Parts: sequence; structure tokens; C-alpha cells
Amino acid sequence: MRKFNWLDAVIILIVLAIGFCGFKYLQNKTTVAQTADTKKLYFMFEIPQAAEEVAENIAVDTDIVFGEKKVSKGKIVSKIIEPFKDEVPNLNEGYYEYQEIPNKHRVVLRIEFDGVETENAFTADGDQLNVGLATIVSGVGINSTGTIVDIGGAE
Amino acid sequence: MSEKKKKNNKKIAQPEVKKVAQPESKEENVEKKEAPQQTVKKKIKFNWVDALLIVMVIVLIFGAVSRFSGKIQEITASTHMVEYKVKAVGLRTISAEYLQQSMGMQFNMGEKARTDTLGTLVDFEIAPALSNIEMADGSIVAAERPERYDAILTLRLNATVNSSGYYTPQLSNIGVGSNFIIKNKYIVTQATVIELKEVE
Repeated sequence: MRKFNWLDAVIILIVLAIGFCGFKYLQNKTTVAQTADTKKLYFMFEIPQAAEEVAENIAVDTDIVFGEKKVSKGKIVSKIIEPFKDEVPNLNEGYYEYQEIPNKHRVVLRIEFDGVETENAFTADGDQLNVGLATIVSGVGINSTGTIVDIGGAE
Repeated sequence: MSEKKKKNNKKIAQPEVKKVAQPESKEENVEKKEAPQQTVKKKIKFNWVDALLIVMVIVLIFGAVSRFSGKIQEITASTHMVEYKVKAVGLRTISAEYLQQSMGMQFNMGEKARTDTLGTLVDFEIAPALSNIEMADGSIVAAERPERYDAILTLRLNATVNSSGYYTPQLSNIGVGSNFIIKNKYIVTQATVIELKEVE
């Protein structure tokens, strides 16, 4: 068996130092998150071209997860279904007009969650949420990609 | 030296030569064989862990040298207040409304690896979004997109500057044509720098 030498000691010290720095870094992050007050926030989540079955079968009161890390928890509190309209060019006159697209629906979900609102951001579990952000909402009976179209405090 | 002394020296030297030449006992033989093995044991063997450590140290040194030397050091030399305009296209109505609430607010890069400070919103213009349509007769016209808007945002930033350009405080280059995701508290969108100038 190889003898323990000074190089091994140096490696162990480096690993311990890196571990200590990482621990301190994470500890600071956690402290910041803990000191911020969480409150009930909401965002409106638009699924632009959902099939009718999908639109109908997304249930209100479903617990969901969302965000980049898929760890932020929320609940669908309301649902709006309307015909999906897309901008279609008129090739003779030269303008765009909204036209209903058959068998496609625009679904807008109101999702409420416990998050943090600061002067600069709305966050859920460290992920910032903004209008225009594409994200995935998934849970029992739903797994859809869409866009946040509004955000704010729920109360 | 006298001749007597020279003779004595010779006499003393002769038995030493004989000693070396004398046949050795078994024990002495064993000692001689073991001696080289002991010197090998004392040497520290160079193994892959040592090699890894050396490589790590070299990489760290190289990284530190490249980070704190050359052009980047020049970049940190001076700062100037700059105003630059970025264009975001195809915003929804609600995003355009949130822009009005964003006056005086700070914008940042909205990319995973980069959250550089991009400056404070000091002005913005909103116009209906235009998109090209290729007509039935083959001509191309710019037509307004319903419920979509193009916005030009003016951001003010205390930028780091050197001979090769303007940089955010976190050293991302800003120049006409730069394209990045911008975000503030309310909105996130893709934007392109279309104008940049120094201000006092």
C-alpha cells in the first residue's frame, strides 16, 4: 500500500478549503432567502395552441411545479379557454389580421404560489419570473410549455 | 616529508587495500544486498494523484494569469457614463404597459450564465410592430402586426471602457449589434443594441 505523503496532505487541505468555501457560499445564499419575506404571488400562464382535449382536461386546483429547476410549487386557481387567434397575412391587401385557428385553443391559467417580491424581482425558489418568460408547468394531468403573460401579488 | 614518513604511509595504506580485497562473511553479503533496496524505499513514488495536483496548480496559475493580465486589465482602466438604445421587437401589449412602470428601474442580462448590469431605463419609445409580407404579386410590404409592439429603450450605464470598446461592469461587451436577453422586475425580452454614445 502507498504511503501517505505531503502531497496527499496538500490535496486533502485543498479539498477541505474548497468544501468550506462552498459551504459558506451556500450558507449566505440560504440566509438571504430566509430573510426575505415570502408572500402569495400569482402569474398568468398562457398555453397558446392547445388542443381541445388538453384545454378541457387541465383541472383547476391542481398542484403543479414550474420554473427552471422545476421545484417551485404552485396551484392552478382558475382557467380561461378561448379560441386561438393567430396573425395571418393578407397577401392581396398587405396587412395582418387575427384569424381563429380551427381546433386550437388559447388557455390562460392563473397560478398562485408562495414567492418573494423585492424592488427588482419576483422570485420563486431563487428563480426570477417575468412577463415573457417561457417555462414549463407540470403536475398531475398537466405538462405544458407556455409563456408568462402577467405577474403580481395575489392579495 | 622525510623518507621514513613516506615509508610509514605506504605501510599504513597497504593493509586497507587488503581489507577490501579480503573475502566477506555471509552477514556482510546480506547487508550489501539489502542496502540498495532501502534507498529505493525512501524515494517518494510519483503517482497519478501527484500528476493531477500539478496539473490543477498549473491550470489555476494559467487561469489567474490570463484573468488578471493583458487586455482585460486595460478594460478596467476607466469608466464612462454611456447611453445606449436597444430595440425589442414584437412585445405584447402587457409588456409595453409594464415598460411604463419600468422607468428609472435597473435592467440586467437575463441569460443563465450572465446577469450583468445593463443600466437604468431613462427613456423609451413604443410603436406598432412591423413585419414584412410577401404579397401575391411578389412585392414585399411592411405591415403592422396586431397587438404587438416594437420598443426602443434608452439605458444609461456607467460602463467600463478601453480602446476596444464599452463593457458592462461585469465585462460583457456592449456595441451596436450586440444581442442579448434583457430583464427587469416585470419583463424579459430579446433586444439588440442600435445606438451607443458617451454622455457627461
